[in-house]
Amino acid sequence: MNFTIFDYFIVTAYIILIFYSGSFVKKYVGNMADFLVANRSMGFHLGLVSLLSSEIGIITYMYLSEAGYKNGFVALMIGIPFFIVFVFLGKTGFIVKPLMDMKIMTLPELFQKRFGRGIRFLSALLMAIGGIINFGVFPGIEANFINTITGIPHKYVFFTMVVMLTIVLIYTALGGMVSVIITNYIQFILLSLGMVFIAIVGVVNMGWGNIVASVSKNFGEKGFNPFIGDFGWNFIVWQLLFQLSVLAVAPFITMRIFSAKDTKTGRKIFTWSSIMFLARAVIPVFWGILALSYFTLNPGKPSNPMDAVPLMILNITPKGILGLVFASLLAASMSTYASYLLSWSSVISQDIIGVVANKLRGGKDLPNKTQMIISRGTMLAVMIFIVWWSFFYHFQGLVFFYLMLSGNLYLAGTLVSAIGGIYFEKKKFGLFRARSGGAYFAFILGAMVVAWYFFPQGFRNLFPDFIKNLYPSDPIKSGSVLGYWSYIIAAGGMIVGSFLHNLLQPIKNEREM
Amino acid sequence: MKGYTIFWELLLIFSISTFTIMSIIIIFKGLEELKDVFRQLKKNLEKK
Repeated sequence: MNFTIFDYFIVTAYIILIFYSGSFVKKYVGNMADFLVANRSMGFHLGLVSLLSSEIGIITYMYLSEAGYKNGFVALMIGIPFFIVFVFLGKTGFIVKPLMDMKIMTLPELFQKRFGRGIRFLSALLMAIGGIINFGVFPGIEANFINTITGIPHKYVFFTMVVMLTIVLIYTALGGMVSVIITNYIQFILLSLGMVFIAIVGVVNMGWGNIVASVSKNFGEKGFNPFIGDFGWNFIVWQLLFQLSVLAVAPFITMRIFSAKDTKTGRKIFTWSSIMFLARAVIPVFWGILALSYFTLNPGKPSNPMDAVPLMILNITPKGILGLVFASLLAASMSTYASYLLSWSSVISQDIIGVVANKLRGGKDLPNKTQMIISRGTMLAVMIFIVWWSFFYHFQGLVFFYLMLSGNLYLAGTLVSAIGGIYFEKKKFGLFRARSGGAYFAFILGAMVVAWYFFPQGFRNLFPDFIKNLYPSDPIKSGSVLGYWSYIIAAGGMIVGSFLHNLLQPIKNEREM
Repeated sequence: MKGYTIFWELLLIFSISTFTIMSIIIIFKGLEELKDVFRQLKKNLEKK
């Protein structure tokens, strides 16, 4: 075991503090609106804390540091699209301002308003599938990380993960967004300390000159020049579109922004998040580069690249501080789990089960209490699924591409339909006015492009040649290409589908919309 | 290659230093806002 008694004390004290804060806020939560968006009372600084805490977890450190470890400095490119898109959204209010002005809780609600119940259901279904298979790899990767850092034998890691997830489930279910806000705050203090600490100790330990020399030795110019590897123009175009859709329409982000007390605060959070999210990508990628340098300079290079960063942290962290660093990493993860659980369970309970129940009950919504029970039951079901998926799924290629493309399953259709529903829903657009036919095409076609990435090779071989020829020969190496094509095809689907819908079934009066 | 190295170095310095400064600011100001959230929720609870 790598921990001293002091380290165990710090980690245990942290878990007790988090659990206590979750149960403490229970008495303040009155109804579904309190539960989901904390009565829209979150200010600018707290909004920023909340957004960052939920978007930084051990999984974030792992997939970003893996990219740095396997590619060198060029992987730092990952941070740049975040920066550009956050500034763009904050300054222009594109998509996010109309959404905040409408005061909707989840994006599928917008789709129901604009395109009808069917699109709300389809969008929520794709969101749930894409979101949960994305979320589903978190526990497995994190189990590996925790195992390496603490020295807990492999046979107990599953148990550790279940304990951690159970704690998250309890405090999230107890307090909803309110408990997420308070725990996020505690966690942000720890995670920001930990992130900067590891980066600085790493540089002091290895020296900048050695770090540059290690990247040069392992990758040559490919480690420095982004335009000759996997992080060139294809990557930039895809990531700009992808980040635009994540930041403007992904439920785990929009839930944070919709909790801001007004539209102005929400936009301000976006603008300032640009700098923080640049660092959120850059610092963990740099850890990967530090690990590469560490194992170039020292013996003991791990056979599994995912072990490189935890092993480096273990080796460079001074004794007695490991518990604090570990608590900071754990802190980051717990808020991410809580936020994702809350987002995906609300999509399933409100937009899938809620829509079906509403139809069955002749247009009447479920009572508040039943909605709460369904929401909590869904959280438990999601939790069980992700633990199972984590141990079932085997990766090919970078984890980064798996995570981005699983999000892309619903994000291409969601972005295109949100733009259509907000900006192209007026009569003046004539035959190109956004209609539900276009939204169906956008969601289905957008998802079909990236679904190819997740099919096993044997399954891909079952398709006829003319379909196989439409896709890149090696989808694992062509993640960026599949990514940006999903947006182009979804946009084409929206235009053609809306055109056909308007042509075959014109709107006779505005009430039909 | 040297040009790229300088760019990555500047990007790292900018990211780490701004992240540190902003983290300190939002931790202190966030605490005030956290108190406001609870005041608001408590008021709502009393009204009910």
